[in-house]
Amino acid sequence: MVALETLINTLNTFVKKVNENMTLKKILKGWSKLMVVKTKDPETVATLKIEKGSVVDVKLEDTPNADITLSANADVINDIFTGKANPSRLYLDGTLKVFASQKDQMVLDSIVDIVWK
Amino acid sequence: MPQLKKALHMRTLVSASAGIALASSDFPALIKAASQVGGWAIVFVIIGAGLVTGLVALSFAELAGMYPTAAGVRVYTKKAFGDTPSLTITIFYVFFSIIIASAETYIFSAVLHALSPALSARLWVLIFLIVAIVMNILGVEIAGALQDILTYVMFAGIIGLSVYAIFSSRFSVASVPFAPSGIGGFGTAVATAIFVYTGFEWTTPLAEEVASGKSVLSYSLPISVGLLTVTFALFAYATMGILPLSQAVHSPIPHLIFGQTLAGKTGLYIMAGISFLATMTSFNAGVMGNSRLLYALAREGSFPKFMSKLHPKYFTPWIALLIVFSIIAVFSVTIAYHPKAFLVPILVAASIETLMYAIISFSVISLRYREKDTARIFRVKGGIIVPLFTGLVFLLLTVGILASSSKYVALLFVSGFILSYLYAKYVVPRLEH
Repeated sequence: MVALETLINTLNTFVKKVNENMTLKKILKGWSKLMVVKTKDPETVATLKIEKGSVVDVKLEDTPNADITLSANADVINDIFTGKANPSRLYLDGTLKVFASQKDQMVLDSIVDIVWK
Repeated sequence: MPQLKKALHMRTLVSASAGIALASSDFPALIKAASQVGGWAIVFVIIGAGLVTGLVALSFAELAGMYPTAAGVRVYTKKAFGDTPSLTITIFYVFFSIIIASAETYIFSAVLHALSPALSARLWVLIFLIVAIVMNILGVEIAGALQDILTYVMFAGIIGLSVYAIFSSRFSVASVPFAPSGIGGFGTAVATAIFVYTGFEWTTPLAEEVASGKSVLSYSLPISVGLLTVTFALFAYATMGILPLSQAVHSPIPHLIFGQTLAGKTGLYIMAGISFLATMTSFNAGVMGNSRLLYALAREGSFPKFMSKLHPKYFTPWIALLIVFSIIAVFSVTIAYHPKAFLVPILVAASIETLMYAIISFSVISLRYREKDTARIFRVKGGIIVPLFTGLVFLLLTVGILASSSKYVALLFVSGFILSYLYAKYVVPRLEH
């Protein structure tokens, strides 16, 4: 089981990597979304506010009707955000649930792909 | 602050599901089913097909509620039967989608050729595919509200024209027999008629966009099957009373013949307009969903990595799209060179779809034991009786289509399945290593 503190650190590290990545900044310049990450075991929820491709705010709270909602066990989310796991494989397994439009799912997938290239 | 997304409504889910299913290729499939039963029992054929499809809709509803994912077939079958059988089924499903898209491309090109005979159907196939590929790479999708309007206009058009036909002076079923082909013909016709429902289940990915009120999706599937049943039953009955079957059965555009016979040029253009909307609402959703499934499989490692390339501006899987479109082009141009064979892809697709529906029903049964603790938003009542009955009926329907159709249908079905299995068994492990 992943500790809550580890999970928050992972998320913050990932956010830093996204914000520092110039390729992402360029291709996501028109992308502004609210993304919620929900985990079980331990139960946590975080809302990421993304504006023009940069994560401008992270809050440990839920946002109803967000554009994107990711949900999985905490260790799965931790593995995705540390680049240890292939999110597509987990998604096709049904281990990772993604509530978002098809296009936003593609954008998310390419963010993970570019960050961990 | 970005605008908050609203949950999808029942109206939009029903219109998306029924809109994807209603395609231009449904009309020749319907007339083929009518010719198999031989008379106006086609109305009962459609009701029968609608009832069994309604039962499989319940299975889809249970599975979509358990696993809200765009890669539905892959997830359900992997959980139910394991990796290799699941990959075989998924690849076979991709093959099925390409076959349907090829049939739709040819039929709609035949519609365009009927309106503008100066250009051959072959040329229309190429023009249509070029426009479609550009739209898909740009990621052009019909927005929810517009999709709603277009779909309900399309259904209102078909129902309105059918009712007009039934009450017109031209309508007569007095000389039309009921079911001269007997019970055997009835069963084969039901199997063929399943084709007209193809794609209703493709809204299960929308479960991902219905983060709140998820049960709405589960109930929308049987409702859309009901809407399709009423629409097609009315249209088939109207056609039987307006046209001799012999005049429509060998044509890829029986709906245009129906429109023209009923109301001259006006009827022709109305049916052509409906055909345009039908192709628009079904083709793009099918191809887009299919290319995204290929993309996800490539990202997973089951297909070569180059197929997971995304367009840097539009975020569409352009390599997967080009591959899908190339195969569609080969199939649809081949049909255009052999126009008498236009029913072959429709019957292949119908046979694969009935098999898929059987597999989905058996997946529900398997998951009742393997994943009994997984939360279900919707559960088919009556234990495993309904999915078991549905699975067996669809298996019989698959056998019925293959046994009663030309050898090319069985050949494509069997070769598609064997190639899918060989790829899943021998190629995928190498790619993964």
